[in-house]
Amino acid sequence: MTGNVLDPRENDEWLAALRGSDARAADELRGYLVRVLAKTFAKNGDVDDDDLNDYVQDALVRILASLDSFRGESAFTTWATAIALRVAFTQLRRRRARVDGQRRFEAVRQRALEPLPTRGAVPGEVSESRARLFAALRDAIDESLTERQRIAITSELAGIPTIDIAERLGTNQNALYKLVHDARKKLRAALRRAGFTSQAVHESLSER
Amino acid sequence: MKLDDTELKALLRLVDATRGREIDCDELLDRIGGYVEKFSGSVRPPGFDDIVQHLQQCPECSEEVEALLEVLGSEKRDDA
Repeated sequence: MTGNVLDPRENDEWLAALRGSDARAADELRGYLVRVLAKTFAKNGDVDDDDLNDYVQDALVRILASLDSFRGESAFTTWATAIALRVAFTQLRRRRARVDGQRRFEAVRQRALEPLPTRGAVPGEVSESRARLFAALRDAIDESLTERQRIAITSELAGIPTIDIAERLGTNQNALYKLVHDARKKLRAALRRAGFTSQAVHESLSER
Repeated sequence: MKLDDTELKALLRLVDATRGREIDCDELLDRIGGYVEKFSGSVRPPGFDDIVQHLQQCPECSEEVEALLEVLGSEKRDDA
């Protein structure tokens, strides 16, 4: 059977077929992934059939190279679909970032490296407790974060895709996640040292 | 580092939700199948705190998981 219809297979049958270079199993999986990606991107005007086939081809390469990491916690096709979506979204984000990514990233980078503004909020704009919390956060940023961490965080807050930030910083998505995670941990510790418990942060953020 | 009040609030939420150990995007991908298959309606399955925590911090993984849930639901409806 080929095309869009999948033969029912147990997970170990999928693994055996794909490890054994079973062309029919690979064709079935390809057809299935093209169909699910077509559904996902049906409303996207910038994804055509050639794109879908490219995404699925790259996804199949990654799936076949990752068979040993399949943990069996789901149906094999669910795992394969998750990988195909990761591949497709990553390529789409990368392509969209090429349009004005460099200009946008440079503007954010400049902003990330600018000196912190004068401390203290304008009276009446925010409550006193929130003004103190914002000041503590600004102090923590000033004292704790590296230049790369500031750029990464400012870029993420500005909505730049992480794949784009990672590539412009010369790293990968997982390393970027760790860079930002370490930054968040530093800021959290600094806020705790300044006396802001999690409850105090919640209360301040929920104020109008 | 210039951040406006909206960005400061967003950063505070992310900082406050930070955990000592967090899974990264590849670890999430390895484990996401089990999570989405246990989803019932819009109710999150219990026992996946590290996945939920990562999704709060990572808009890209969150977008991909939403798409995965949607397309798997669509496949299930087509099969019914």
